[in-house]
Amino acid sequence: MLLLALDTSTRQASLAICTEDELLGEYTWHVGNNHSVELLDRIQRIVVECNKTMQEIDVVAVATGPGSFNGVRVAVSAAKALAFSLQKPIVGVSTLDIIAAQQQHWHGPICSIIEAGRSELYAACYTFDKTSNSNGDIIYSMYQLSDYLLLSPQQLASYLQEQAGTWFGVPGKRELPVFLYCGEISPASRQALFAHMQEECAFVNSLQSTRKASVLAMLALQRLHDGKEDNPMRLEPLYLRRPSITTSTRKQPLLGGISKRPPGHSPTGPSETEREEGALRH
Amino acid sequence: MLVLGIESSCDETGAAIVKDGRYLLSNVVASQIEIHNRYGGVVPEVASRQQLSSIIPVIETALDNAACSWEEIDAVGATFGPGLAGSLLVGLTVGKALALAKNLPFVGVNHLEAHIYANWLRKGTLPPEKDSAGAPWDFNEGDPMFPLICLVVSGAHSELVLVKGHGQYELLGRTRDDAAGEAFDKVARVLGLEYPGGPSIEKAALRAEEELLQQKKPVELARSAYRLPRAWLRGTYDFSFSGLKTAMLHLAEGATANQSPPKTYEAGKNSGTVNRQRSQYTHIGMQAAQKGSTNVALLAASFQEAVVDVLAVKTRLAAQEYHVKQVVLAGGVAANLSLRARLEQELLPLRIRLSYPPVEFCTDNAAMIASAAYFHLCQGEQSGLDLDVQPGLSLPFRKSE
Repeated sequence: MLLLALDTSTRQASLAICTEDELLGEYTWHVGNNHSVELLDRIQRIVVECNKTMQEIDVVAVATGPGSFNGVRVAVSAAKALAFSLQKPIVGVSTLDIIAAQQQHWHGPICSIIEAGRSELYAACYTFDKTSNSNGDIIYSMYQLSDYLLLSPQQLASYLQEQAGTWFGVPGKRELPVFLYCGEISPASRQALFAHMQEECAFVNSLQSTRKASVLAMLALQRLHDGKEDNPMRLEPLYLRRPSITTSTRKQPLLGGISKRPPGHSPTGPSETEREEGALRH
Repeated sequence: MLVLGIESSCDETGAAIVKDGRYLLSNVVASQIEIHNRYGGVVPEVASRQQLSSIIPVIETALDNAACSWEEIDAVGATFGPGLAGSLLVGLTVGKALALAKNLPFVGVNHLEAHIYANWLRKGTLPPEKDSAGAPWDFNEGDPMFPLICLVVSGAHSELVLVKGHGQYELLGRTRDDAAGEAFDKVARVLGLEYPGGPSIEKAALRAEEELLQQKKPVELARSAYRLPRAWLRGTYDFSFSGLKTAMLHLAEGATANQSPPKTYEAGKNSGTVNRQRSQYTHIGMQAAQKGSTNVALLAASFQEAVVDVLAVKTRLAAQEYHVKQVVLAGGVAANLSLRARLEQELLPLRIRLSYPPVEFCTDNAAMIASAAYFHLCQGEQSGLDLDVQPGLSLPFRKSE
């Protein structure tokens, strides 16, 4: 089974082509804001370099964010179009899951982070279980402890300290596990988190937590194995943040003569509300 | 040749399959008007998210409606500008990915040029039975004739363009501030009419005329109910609509400041603002004001007339100067019936043909994208997969000789 994995969630992009057993090719590069310019070209190149054709691809995996809105949309658009036209399954994986899965050897909670701008962070918390099967293969299973969050560094630190007790608390013991922070963390956020958590946290250096599409491919294969594939018609990015809409007073109508529509009222009934909610979906 | 066109420059998601740049096999548009109506304009991030949700279902519907399989498609075209960056990215990326997956030639299409090519689309005409390979690509019976003058009027553009041949554009004039469609939208918001402003102002103006008809008065009175400024910018083919917009704002502010405008001339003696306002009413406007109606319909009619007046006269002047035999309309405002009628009136005595696309090809659609892509392909032009969106793209103008 040939899998193509795409990730352009942030300024860091990665794409990989692999089978269940073997990585055939992988590019991980700094894409800046050139997501659409560079992604398609590189897909074409990697497929040729691996001596494959587009028609041979069996599954498309894509990082669904959170991250840069436009960046995430480029990979998701491309993946949806490829899966739709090749009539192959698509698997969406959250970018935060990919970051966490790269640190699966850590014994303890992992908090993966992406800068969300405006001094906020996208974050999620995970823990991994290590087991081995009868053949002696090590199997890591991922458990997501928290929702996908959008919080300031201070809020995140308090949230984790609060939740740690319920996640790992042993009655009578006050000691908490050390959280491993990984992902794209700015120096300012790092400082804020460290100030709050001190010895309860450790940071993965940013070079080591660069996202690799081969990890996305691995997670996608697991999901595919569990029968959790997505619909290319309906797959949506994980935005986490609503579009910011400012209403200006200058834009309010001065004359209300003809418009029979009070703001917020929908003449077409639930269908419009539904569509709007769709548009504003997190 | 069958081309799949994809359009996502603003708030409409479109996909269409067009044969030989002229004959429509399918044309699907998913509009977001209801969503953006709430905000009185397009919210870019909301539009981008909606584009991504709609685009694949829209393309699938276009293929289904055309009863056409991937194997029959010969090329993919998608808008790369001008428009909203986030929205453009979705359509362009999908277009490039489809071309890559199906190993088809890809053409990035200039949205403005596509609006012009909407005039090449036939509505309800089936492709000719016999293989059209015999007909040359650049001219079929019924196509507009070069050289022609094109008036591009949309929400973001107002341009007069001389088109000498396929891909040969010469800019004669453009708006110096607001585009015509933008002025319609903004004035509609001031008047409390729905977004998009063009159709709702047109509807309100029609209502004003119907009312006058019932009173057995000439309908033209509605169009001159208010004295509104017209920026002629003589000696150029440029337009300006911001002064007109401001005049409308003042009129509307005046109407809200004192709900019933001056009943008699005495009422205006004490305050300067009332005086200024009175001067902008003509007799009919004054009468309506006295009856206590809010005048939205009359304001809309007068505003529409002021815009149409300038557009029509300047287009006629350009057509005369450049001795063209044909004028074509393009862009969303080309759907305005009053503009069409007025231009017809200006051009008919000069024996200049006026043509305009059916309404569904005036507003943003993908059929025109497919058409423009076809004419580029016929000239041997293709785009690479590294094509980027260009939100501020203009027509590829050539310097006049």
